[in-house]
Amino acid sequence: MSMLTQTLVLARLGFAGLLQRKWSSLVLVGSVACVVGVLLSMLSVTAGQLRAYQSDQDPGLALVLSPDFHSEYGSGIPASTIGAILDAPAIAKTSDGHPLGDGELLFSVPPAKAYYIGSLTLRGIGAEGFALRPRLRIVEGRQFRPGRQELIIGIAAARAYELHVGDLVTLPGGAWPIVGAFADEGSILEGQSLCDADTLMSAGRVSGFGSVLVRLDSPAAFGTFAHWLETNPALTVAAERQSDYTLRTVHRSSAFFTKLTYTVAAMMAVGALFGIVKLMYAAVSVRTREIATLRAFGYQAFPLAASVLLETALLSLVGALIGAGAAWLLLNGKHVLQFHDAFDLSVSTRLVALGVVWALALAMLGGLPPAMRSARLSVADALRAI
Amino acid sequence: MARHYRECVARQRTFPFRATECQPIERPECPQSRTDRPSPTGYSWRKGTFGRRPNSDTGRDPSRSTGSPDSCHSERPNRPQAQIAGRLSAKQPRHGWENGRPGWYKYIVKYFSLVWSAIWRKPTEAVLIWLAVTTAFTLFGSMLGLHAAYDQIIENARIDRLDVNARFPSSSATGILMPFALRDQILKVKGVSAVGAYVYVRGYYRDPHHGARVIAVDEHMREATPELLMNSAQWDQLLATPTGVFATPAAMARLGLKVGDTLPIITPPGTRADGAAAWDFHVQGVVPWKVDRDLFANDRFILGNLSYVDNARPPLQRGYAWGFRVAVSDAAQANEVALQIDRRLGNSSTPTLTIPDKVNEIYAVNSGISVASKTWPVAGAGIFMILLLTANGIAQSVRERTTEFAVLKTMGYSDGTLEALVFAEVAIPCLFGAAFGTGIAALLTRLPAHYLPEDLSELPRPTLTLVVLAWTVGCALLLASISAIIPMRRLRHLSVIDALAGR
Repeated sequence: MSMLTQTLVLARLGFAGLLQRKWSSLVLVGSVACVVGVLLSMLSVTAGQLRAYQSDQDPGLALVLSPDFHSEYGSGIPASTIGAILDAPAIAKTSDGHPLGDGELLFSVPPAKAYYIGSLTLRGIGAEGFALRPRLRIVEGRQFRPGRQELIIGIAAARAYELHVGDLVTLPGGAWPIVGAFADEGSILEGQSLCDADTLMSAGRVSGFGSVLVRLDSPAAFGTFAHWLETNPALTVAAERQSDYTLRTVHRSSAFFTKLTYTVAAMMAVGALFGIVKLMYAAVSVRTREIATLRAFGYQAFPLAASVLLETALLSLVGALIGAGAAWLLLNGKHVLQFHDAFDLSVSTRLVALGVVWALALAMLGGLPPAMRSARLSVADALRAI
Repeated sequence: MARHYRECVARQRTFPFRATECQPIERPECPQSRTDRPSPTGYSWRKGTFGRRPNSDTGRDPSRSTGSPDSCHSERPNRPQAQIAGRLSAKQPRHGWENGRPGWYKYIVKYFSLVWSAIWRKPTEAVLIWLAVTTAFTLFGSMLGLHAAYDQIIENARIDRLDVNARFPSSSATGILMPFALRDQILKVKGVSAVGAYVYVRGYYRDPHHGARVIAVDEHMREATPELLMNSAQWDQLLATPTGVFATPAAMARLGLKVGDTLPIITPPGTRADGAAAWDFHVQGVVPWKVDRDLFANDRFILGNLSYVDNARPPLQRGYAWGFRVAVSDAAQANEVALQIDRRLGNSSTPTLTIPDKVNEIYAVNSGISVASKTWPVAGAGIFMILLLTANGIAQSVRERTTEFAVLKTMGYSDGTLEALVFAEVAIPCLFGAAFGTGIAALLTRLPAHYLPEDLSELPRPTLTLVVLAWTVGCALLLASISAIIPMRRLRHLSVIDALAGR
């Protein structure tokens, strides 16, 4: 028999014996499920945030920021320079020939109740704001009217801050009514509210925009657009693809938690690793008679070791799927509020794949010493032990 | 006697006893009846209690190791009875104590070797279980310590210190938010005893990934934060030295600074009036830091001179503070004072949002990705994982030693004793693992900040309080108890005849 055939035969024998070792097998499965469950549960937060940020990514959109701020927060682009920015080449045009772009600004709405945790983000958008976001649709009420102190709220923000159409929000200049609610296919925009930028600037006594959002003729035209802005002596702005800005923002806010997650999961994995080694040692010990007999029949050491590894991998895989399933059932789609962002937790297929990789790595590391022991088992000694 | 020896040797394959324990007991026949004589295991058939176990080397009971054959019932055969009686009358033994030791001590001496040999029956597996338990308790201790640290942050935060910020942070074109003149308005609010202004200089030190921040404070901060342990001379030095800064020990350790060093902080363009990218500060001294919550809610702050920072900023940004620190004379009125400040400045150019420090800390701990809320679930998952392992380990051990336990039952061991032995067998690795794991967690909490990744160094240091230690011990015992339940049930329902027959 070839090595492969021997491995498969031995693996089949090992799998067949799992029922006789059901408790220790279940313990191995449970240990790996705990590790993968914790890993995916914690990563679901950053994955959900990343998904929300990335879902409104459009390679054809570019963001113009003040080099002083590197962020949409702040107001570093004077209103007087918006016209010059929109004169840049490679900006798409509307049907009536206007450049498809507008200045926008972000505003933190103070807590509605005393010491209420979290503050809603209000985004002031211009006349082209909706054209720049074709997926945005009103799901309740109506759109805000330019020049009036009123706003519309994203469905995630409404849920997170317990606000409804018709409620009043305290802002500079008085109480602004919420006149509508919108959806944007689960993007991070759904965790914000929108109003007319000029009205907000006037009420808040703001003289500048936080950013300028433009749609390019094509994604490839970004270089031309950015070069023109940066070499224009009348402007002190920097251009960035909206997708790059999104990634930069989300990675900055999630880096800490991601590192903490991997640290915690690594500690759990080390504990599980010792457990796997112990359990597989016990499994090999129980199978000493069987292994000795097989060796006496001519089965080689390598297929024996491989079969032990395969058995460990199978059990770990089951554990990973159980852990991932539990994380998915408990957390996937759960609404959370993180500082200014409202989004849903996500246990994506990519995360599940990550959990499987961790589980298989654990299986390989934990299964290796018992596999080597089974391979090195002396036939004479093993038969003597029968 | 010979029969006893043969039986005992025959048990060697399954018994953890050493062969020396099965030596024939060679001693003069005691005149006492057979039923009163202690068995080799120390079990008294008549009384139903355990006595002293025979010496494992000589086969003799230590209390009877010397003396004449007819003195086998005396406690101290070499001593005159009168002397013993005299000592007893002079000093009565304490209740539950024997020979100057607590009553339970003899049980430990008696059964420890039995439990110990059972634990080390399979050394590799015993070590692996212990390592797994140790790792789990390292995680458990770290997570509970982290939770305790967050609790302590909230606990230590003062309700009588208020932080005043702009209610609409984006309403200033300069990005700098509150005119210094608001300080006088805040001071007029009843209940406010002192107000200090602050401005942040935020950038990085040496490496763009190595963030650094100086909190520039004005001269009024001395009264607004009397809890700071800076003495009068240090305050004078700070306010008199334009580029001087004082840092906490933790901040200095994090940045690798010492007194006298220059601290260049690179800031974004437009932060300085002269167009320079760096602010060159000079470390003047150390801010003594105590465990109590101090200014700006962490133990790693650097204080600078607001007068210098303000004058070095671009003209449009001068005269504005990032916020104000307010000391309230009566802590019970802090919330009311906060509301009064916001009402008073509600119609000003910069409406304010005033929050007590304690509320701010609760918000900081619980908002965003709340690490505090994750600590208990993670610790629980780690312990559950180990529970599976220990439960499986002890169940397997008992299953493999069914015959041994049947023999012990035959020899007179009660169900309770056997259950106690099983519990001890699982509790000892759990307690040792918990002790070592907590020790490692304690070492990790003392790891210098610069050994940690930049982001994780911002975590509060886990605090291993007595409560955390009590939780750890309790959890180890609970782990052992739950793990031992099924094996205990198995032993209680063990059929001795079937077990001895190998069925």
